[in-house]
Amino acid sequence: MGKSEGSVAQETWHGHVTALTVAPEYRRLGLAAKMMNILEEVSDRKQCFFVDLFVRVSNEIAVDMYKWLGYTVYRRVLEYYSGDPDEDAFDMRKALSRDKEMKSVIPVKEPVRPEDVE
Amino acid sequence: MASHNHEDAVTERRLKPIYDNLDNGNYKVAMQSADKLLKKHRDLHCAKVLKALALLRLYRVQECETLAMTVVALKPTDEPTLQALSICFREMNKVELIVEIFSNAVKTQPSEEYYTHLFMALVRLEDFKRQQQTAMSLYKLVPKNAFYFWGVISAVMQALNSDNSLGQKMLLPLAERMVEKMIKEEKLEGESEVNLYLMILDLLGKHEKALEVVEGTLGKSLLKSQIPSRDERTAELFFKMQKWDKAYQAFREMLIKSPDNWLYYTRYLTSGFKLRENGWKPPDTGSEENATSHEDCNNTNKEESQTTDYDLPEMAAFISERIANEEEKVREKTGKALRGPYLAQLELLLRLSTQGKLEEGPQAGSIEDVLVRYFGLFADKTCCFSDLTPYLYMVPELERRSCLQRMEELVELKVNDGAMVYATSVKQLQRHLTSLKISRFYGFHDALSSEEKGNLASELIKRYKEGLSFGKGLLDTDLQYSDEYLLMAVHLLVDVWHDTEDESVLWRCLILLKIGHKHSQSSHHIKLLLMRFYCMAGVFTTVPSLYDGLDIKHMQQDTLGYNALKYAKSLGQLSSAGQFYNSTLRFFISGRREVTEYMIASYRFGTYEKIPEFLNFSTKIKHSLHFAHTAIEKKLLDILKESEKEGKSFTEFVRNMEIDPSQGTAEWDKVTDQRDLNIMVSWNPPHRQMSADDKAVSLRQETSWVKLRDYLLRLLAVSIDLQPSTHALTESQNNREKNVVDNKGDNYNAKESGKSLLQNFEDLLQACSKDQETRQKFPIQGPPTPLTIEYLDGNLGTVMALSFHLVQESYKINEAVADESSQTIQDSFCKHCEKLKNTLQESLKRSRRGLVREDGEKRILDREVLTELTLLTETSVYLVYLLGIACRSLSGLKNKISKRNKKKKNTPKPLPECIGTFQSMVEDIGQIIAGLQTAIRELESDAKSLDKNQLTLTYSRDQSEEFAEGESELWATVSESYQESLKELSELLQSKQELLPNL
Repeated sequence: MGKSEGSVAQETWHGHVTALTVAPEYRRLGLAAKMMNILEEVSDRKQCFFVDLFVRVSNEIAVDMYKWLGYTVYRRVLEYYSGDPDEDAFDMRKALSRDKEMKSVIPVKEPVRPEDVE
Repeated sequence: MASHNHEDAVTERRLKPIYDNLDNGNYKVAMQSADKLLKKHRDLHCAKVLKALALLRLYRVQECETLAMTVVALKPTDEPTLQALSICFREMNKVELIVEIFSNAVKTQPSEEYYTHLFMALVRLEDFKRQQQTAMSLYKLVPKNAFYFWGVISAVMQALNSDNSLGQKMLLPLAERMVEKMIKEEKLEGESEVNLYLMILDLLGKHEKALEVVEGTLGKSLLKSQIPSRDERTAELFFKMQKWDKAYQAFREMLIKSPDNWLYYTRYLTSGFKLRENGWKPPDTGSEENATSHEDCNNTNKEESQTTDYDLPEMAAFISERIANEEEKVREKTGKALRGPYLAQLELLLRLSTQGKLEEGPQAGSIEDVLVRYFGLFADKTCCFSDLTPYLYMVPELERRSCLQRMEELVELKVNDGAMVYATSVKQLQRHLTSLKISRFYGFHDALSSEEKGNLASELIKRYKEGLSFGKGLLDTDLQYSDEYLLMAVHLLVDVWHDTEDESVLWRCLILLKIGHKHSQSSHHIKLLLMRFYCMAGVFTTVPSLYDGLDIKHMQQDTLGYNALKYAKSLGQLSSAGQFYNSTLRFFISGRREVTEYMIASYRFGTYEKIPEFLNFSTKIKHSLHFAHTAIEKKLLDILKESEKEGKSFTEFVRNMEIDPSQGTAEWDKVTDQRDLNIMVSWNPPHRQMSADDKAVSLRQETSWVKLRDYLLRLLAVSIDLQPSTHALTESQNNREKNVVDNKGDNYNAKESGKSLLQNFEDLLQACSKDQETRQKFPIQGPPTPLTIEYLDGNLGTVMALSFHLVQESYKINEAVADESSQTIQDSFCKHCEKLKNTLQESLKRSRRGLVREDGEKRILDREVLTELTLLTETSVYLVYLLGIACRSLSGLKNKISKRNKKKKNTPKPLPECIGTFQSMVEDIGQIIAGLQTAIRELESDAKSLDKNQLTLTYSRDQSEEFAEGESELWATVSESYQESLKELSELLQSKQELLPNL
């Protein structure tokens, strides 16, 4: 599930991965990568600058997969996932063809709070 | 103008504190400040509305409505007042009033904003016709494309929700013309508008025209970003138009680019087979058809344009080519093999085999090879078994064993001198599991003796434990690799249980699943099966946390809720039941509201094609059987527990529920079944799976039971109107007079309504008891059967029906003041008294058992008795309420006679016999209910001493420490849960027992 949002003027117009899940029986078949490709393709056609997503820092398998697909950690969002205890998220990004200089993926060093994420 | 703005600002400042207080929940303060403001400024309508809103939130609904309506009558046109009224009416659930205020407002102040509000209010009301009119008025006022297309989609929605002929003949062509007018004027702006046009053409079946749109300038300029692509749309249209040659070609070309797209394969094969059926031959080169269309497609691949491979060898060759590509990828190590091409080959064979033309196929006689090859490539994937299920039965029965043997050889897990060899890698373990699943699916487990099944189960348990070592580093959210060993062991044990009826197997399964759950917290397969086993064992305390652990959200309440719904109440855990009903109902009520919000968002953002989908979804959950069932059970539970408590009489309590006895809770002909009956995994052979027929039977069973419960609820509701009014009742009686208009149909007549409901109830009871389907059971992975069987066997429907007869007859006897004309009713009344007493007596006798029964040397826990006693308790409580009603009628009669006797002192009329009969029956029933109370208490003490008897109940073969620990935990849980259930029942009965009336 995903959407495109943001402002073209501020170069934040981007594709966002709202949720990505594969049933346990159908894992390790490359389906997640396939779905990500579709979202990237659509976002590219919609002339987005980049695609972004949030992922639990503990979810190593997912983080590794996104890295393999070309995503990098843009920033860390503190206590993004509520629970017991709350957990941090990585905000990961991949630049699309419109962002030729890859400006959108220059990492932010300091972690941010969820309320500072627009 | 300036002064006007200034005035607005002043008003805004004055109102602000009231808004703040409303937002912060200080409704009383909000009301007071509104009052204060109104003293100074009597005409400040908005303040009045805000006061009304405060009243509403203080639950003073009637006052709120009166006040708000005085403002509505003034036809206000200022923004703040209209906004405040909107909020108020939305919270009151009276959208029609929002429509009213904005229709008034646009008459004098037509503005984009007010029209938009009016339009959205109509969306909430699902009034498509007025939506369309409003959108067009708005477009006249402000000519934006969006407003015009609101009108178009409204016409479509109207078409989709009216009877077919009107939609097809009038509304859809209207929508079509509306769009075409815009096209002519070259006003189309966006993709969503073209999509809407294509949707209309699709509904009209005008695929040719749609094709022109997709391939023409509109498609080229506007269909840019979305899925499906234009190629896909074109191919899909050819398919719909049954232009099989073109569809065939189009899907073929797309498959070259996407060789793993299953939809494309099925379309490709369907088209190919259609061409074969029709004996189609390629037209001569240079013919018109070839020349006119699809030039660009034909040019893209020269090789393809030369041959038109419409025939079987060519289809097979095409698929083989795709497979060869995969093989090359693997050989060159440039990627992993995709499953699509291999499955397509199997699909081709299946289609031939269903036509009985397998021998025509290119691979005749080699199905086994194809299957074994697939196994070799993909058996280490968990999905391998479900990939193969449609194709496994193509292998002739006698060759299945050898087919499986060839697969087993590929697992490379050989028995070495009788010693078991364990899998040495996750992949090998998964291959082994796939072979086991296929073996079970082929029925080879069924062919084993009970002992062999038990042995195999034990072997699988060992493999399960060994396999856990592979999953040591897994996260809590991951599934254990060896979970399926355990599940299959349990499935085998269930077979043993069915074969031998040895109850100890059930307990063994429970312990195994508990262990499995401990090691694999996220496995929903284990959780669901464990829940079912607990429920079958009569244990409910553990179920809510398992159910919550499934993290069931939103729509899943509807699809999966059936796994818990039946048991919450039938196992006597009434408080749990209440919580479960509440969370379910919250989804159905707020879920539908949320869908409306999404629909509104779709109008705003122009995602028109989603609007019918949202409405469909909303309609589906509105008519969900699970929703109706839960709503009815919730009301029945409230009556059971909460009435005659804290000064609220049964009569008052039921009256406040505003049940309309003349209306069914659901519209039975529209009921939808959203239960996901395939959620629990099963590798049973096809004939032991839930079939479509089974599902239909289950739905009929479920519907009958829900109907019975609905009749029961409505009969309880109508009973409160079948008693003489007394002083104590006058006030609520008056209220009722008002309510008649609101909630009970115009022609509501309690006597008639009660009579026909009772007739329906008795007819349905009888129909169910005669119908063999009522008792049909399903595989353990299927749905539980509803409580109809237990209800019938306990004669509880009869008890209820007789009680309603007494209520209705006593009312008539009192009306007729026991004159001669009522003699037949009195006779019938006395007969019913006798029968009621006897039936209840029998029901109790039947269910007076201990919790543990002895069978030879074995001690067996009686898993049925708790449900029986729960249903009996419920019935007894309703009976007590109803006897109270009947008693009021009879004491009315008694009073009338003694008054009359005072006047005619010489010839006192004796009290009619029915009064005495009733009185003595009530006393007897008091005795029976006391007996029921004793039965419950005795069972409670059985449950208390249960854990001491543990070993004699389980007879386990598994001597591991983990098992022993699980076992003693289990018996503590069983004991605790039974005690809790029985305590709830006993307390309920205790509190209601005292209500038995006395004349």
